[in-house]
Amino acid sequence: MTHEQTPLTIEDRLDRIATDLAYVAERQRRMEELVDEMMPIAKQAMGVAAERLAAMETQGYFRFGRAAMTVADRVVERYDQEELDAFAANVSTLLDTVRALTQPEVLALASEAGEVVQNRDRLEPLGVFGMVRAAGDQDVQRGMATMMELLRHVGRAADRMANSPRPASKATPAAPKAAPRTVARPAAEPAPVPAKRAIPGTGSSGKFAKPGASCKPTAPGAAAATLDGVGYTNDGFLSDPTQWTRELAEAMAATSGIQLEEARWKLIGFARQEWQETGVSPNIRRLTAGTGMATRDIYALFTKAPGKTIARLAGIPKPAGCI
Amino acid sequence: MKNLVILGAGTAGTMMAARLSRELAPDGWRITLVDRDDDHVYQPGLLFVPFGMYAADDIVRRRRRYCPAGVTLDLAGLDRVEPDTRTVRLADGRSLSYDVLIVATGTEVDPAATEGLTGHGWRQTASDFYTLDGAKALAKALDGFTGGRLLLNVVEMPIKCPVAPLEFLFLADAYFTERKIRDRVEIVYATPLDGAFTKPRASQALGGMLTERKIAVEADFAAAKVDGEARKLVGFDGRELDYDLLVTIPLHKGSDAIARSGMGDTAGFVPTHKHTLQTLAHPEVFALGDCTNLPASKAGAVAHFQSEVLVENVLRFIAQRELLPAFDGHANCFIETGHGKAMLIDFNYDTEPLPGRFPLPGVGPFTLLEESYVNHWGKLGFRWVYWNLLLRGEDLPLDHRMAMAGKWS
Repeated sequence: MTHEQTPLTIEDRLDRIATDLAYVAERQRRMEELVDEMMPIAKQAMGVAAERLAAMETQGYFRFGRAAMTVADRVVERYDQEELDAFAANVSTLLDTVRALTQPEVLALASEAGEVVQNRDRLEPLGVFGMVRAAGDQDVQRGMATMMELLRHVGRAADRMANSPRPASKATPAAPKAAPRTVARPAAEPAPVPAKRAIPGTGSSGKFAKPGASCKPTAPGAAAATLDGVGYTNDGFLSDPTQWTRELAEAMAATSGIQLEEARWKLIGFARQEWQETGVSPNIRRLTAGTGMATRDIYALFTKAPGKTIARLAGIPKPAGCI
Repeated sequence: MKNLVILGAGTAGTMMAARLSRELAPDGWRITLVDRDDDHVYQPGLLFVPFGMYAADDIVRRRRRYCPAGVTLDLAGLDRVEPDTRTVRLADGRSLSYDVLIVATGTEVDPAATEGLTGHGWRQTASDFYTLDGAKALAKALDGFTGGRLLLNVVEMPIKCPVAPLEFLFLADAYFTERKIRDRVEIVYATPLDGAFTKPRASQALGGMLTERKIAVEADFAAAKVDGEARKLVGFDGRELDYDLLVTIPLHKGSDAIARSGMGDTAGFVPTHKHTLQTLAHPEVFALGDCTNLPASKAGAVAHFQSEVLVENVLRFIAQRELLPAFDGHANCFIETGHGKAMLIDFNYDTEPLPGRFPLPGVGPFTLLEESYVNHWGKLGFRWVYWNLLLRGEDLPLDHRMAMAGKWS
């Protein structure tokens, strides 16, 4: 570092120029190599991209896109910044309303109402007696109750709008309770609007209770089944190796028709120890090297897939690849 | 003047040399990189050689070209390490003493460990593709292959790049399809594991990939011996599999020099701390890459993520500070699936490969556990990244710790 200050000899200068030139040449070579490597890839990429885009063109995505732009243009021209902000602030309320209005029950109601209106030429004007008579009709009574409830909501909403300076954009997001959904609620009477937090697995033991961002890594062998408090994977391996006991190994062996005697215990014991030390379930070669037993003898003791069977009885993870 | 010796100028060793040469004061530390030859093989490229996608020359470069300035590259070869006296004995009789030793000797295939494998038909009707010679032999064999049974066998786990056998199967299917002889070729995969996919999410997402391609699987198959004349692979459980061409992933072992030094376990892998990468036997000896006994994948990506942790820990060791237990087993790799597409997986010690997007959540551009063209281009483009960024010890815009962001758990 200090040699920056000391006067440089010609050799020093030449050395430095040579180093700099070598550096520049190396950068240049790397860039050329990059271009060479990337060209064939870029060619392939262009080919695939062109194919994909052509397919999208034929399907009409681009025509649709251009049309959508026209729609967007009209929206932008017609509404000013404040109105757009208000729209953005209330977009979830709007969507809730759309969802509520598109519930099957509501759609059925709307279509029935539509039919009534279409057939209005067949309806007779109603006199006072007719009104009294109609009031005795159960359907009309239910309809009246619904209308009254609706009116009550409309009244409350009107009140709130009158009392708040910027009703659309500010009142709604700030109000914490069910109140902002006034428009949606009464219309969806038969099927209550699914409030946001009620959607996933209502009340079920936290199966869907994902606390947003916290993504814990999955356990190596997530339990697929639990028996007597012990978790097993789909393949019948213990999901938690610390739950292993000799009795458990004996019980597992018995269900597979295997009697655990000294030689088999030796293999199981070694496998467990190996896993505890290295985190790897031993393969056949490790088992032979570690126990001094011949591969053939191990196959005689555990005739089918001994490595896997021994790991299962030892309560350690299944020997696995990376996928 | 103190000495830091790195054994092995492969992916892991070269990266460590590049990073440490920038971190250690040149007037305080002498760094020596030891290897036995000057050929650095771009190992991810070996997969493409049998199918004629890369020529052998495309994937080999001189090691000296990647030896950073200020580091001495010694190509005499390693005889043994004497850890008690902190001495490295070279094959030509010289020796080097060290204050810090980094073992990056990798793993080797050992076809001779399987009875009969290197006998009749070796490198003709039976070959590996984990060595340059093997990959070249397979290129020749595949070129002349007009029909019959191609049998791919993994002798025993662990192996280097654990997805390579699957990639070979996918590429073979695509290769024979392109040559219009797929209907005359039977492809069989004999694995010591209980299936081609052993992790729940991967099996769920990819389970159908082999059946779709009409690739048969012989699961739980432990190869006992090969009869090269009868072209038969025999299992310890008595199963016999015929073949016309045997593609073998031979047994893997650690370097013989490590075994001679008494620093390896029964397979020759160096017992290493899972999170700090310090060897368990000697505090001044560290290990990374394929040579360790860690339950992480033996793959270049792992060595890369390890190198970031290990540089920090070597500096901490020199400064007599506590080591960081920062390595989490993070690995990611492209999986070629043929027809110009590939998949990508990203995982660590605790988290199996999950579907999603990588590295940017929702955006990608790479798709996890799902085939796409972009992944394949990523794999092809990686060769430049390897030679020009990775080996030079440049930082990539990826964290060495695995992130859950972008993964669908």
